[in-house]
Amino acid sequence: MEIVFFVIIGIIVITVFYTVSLYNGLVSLKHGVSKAWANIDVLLKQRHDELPKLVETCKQYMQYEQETLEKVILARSGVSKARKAGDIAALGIAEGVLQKGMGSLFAVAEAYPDLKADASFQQLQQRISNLENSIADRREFYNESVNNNNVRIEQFPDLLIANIFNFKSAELLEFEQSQTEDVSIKGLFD
Amino acid sequence: MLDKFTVQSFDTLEFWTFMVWATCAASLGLYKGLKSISHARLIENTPTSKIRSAPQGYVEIVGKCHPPLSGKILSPLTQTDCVWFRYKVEKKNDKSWNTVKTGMSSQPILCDDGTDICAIFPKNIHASINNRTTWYGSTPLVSGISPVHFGGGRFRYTEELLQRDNQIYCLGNFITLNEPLNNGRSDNPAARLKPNELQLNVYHTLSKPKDGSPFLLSNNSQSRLVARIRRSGWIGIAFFFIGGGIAVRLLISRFIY
Repeated sequence: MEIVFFVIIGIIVITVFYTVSLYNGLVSLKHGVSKAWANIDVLLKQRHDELPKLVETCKQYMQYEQETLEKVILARSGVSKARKAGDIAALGIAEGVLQKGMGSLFAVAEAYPDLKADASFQQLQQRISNLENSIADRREFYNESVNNNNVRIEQFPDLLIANIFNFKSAELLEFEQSQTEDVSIKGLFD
Repeated sequence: MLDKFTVQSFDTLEFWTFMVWATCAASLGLYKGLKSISHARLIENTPTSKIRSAPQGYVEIVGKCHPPLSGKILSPLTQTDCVWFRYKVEKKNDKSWNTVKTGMSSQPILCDDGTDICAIFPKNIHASINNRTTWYGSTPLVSGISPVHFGGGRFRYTEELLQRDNQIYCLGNFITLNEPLNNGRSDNPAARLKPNELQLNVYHTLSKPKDGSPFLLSNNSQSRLVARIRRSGWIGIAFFFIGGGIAVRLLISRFIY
């Protein structure tokens, strides 16, 4: 009889410790998502500060490409607005537009040998390209953090703690659809 | 087995010896069990970072072992070309094996995940490596032994190896340095390498976290590693129940009935 009593006490002790561990785990996941977002935010801000320098350098050589340059500037402000508002869905769309604009800018720059040879342009292009790679890596990291958080709060037994303490699912940062479509080779030659 | 007559027949020293053993088993089992289960969750909850853009602090990285650039690393027992080794030589005394000699490579392990390279400093690392060879012999010789089973030798040799291109999984404290590791001017203690020890410009290091979080290295997949840690957690919990049950039984048989 006393053994049964001990087993019940033991189960209660372990349940209490396990519940505390589940709660702490969920808190840690929630903060992990915030931290992963902050890590992307830092890079977006750095790229936001670098883009006007790139556009200014391009302007000196590309007098007839105002439309392309304006598209980049507009897309930049779209990303900035979404970033400041913390709107993940809008940021995904704005990022897609900016990436497209940047792609066009670098493609057009190919037609300007003087611009391509400019040391400042090369440096900025390299810097922005590095930032883009880091943003892509950190987006992947953010999405994995979000996925870990969302899976946990829907899984038993975490689900019980998540419901009691109102832990919320987070939103994935997804690029605009056009970014993930295959490039049409035919279109490039039209 | 532990009926009240048996317990009451124990003298005071016997009784308290049993009590201490049972209580220690229960306490350690509970501590190890909960710690392992909590570590398993931590591993599952930590997302994989790319080395080139990993945040500073506690991270998980997955990549392949890059060849050491300071020349060959040879394992002490089998002289195998590797990037990391751990070995143990044990001698059989009566029924148990006593460790005669043990060691682990202290050279940094270079992990390449395709984006960049990170130097893992293995001091105090918890390594779970399944590339392990165990064999027996009759001498305590610790160099140049082929991994051949000699039958019932009095010495047992165990060697664990990581070789180039092995897939590895690591968890630890990640630091990106302002200057490459091999210039000898870094403030990071982990980066104080001997001149020419590392010819590659490596800016990232992984070392033991100061907050007590696990510092892990494994060539198993994350899911297998988590399953193993969780299993050891449940073994700890089982020890808690068995040890605790015995302690309660001893106390009640001695003082209540």
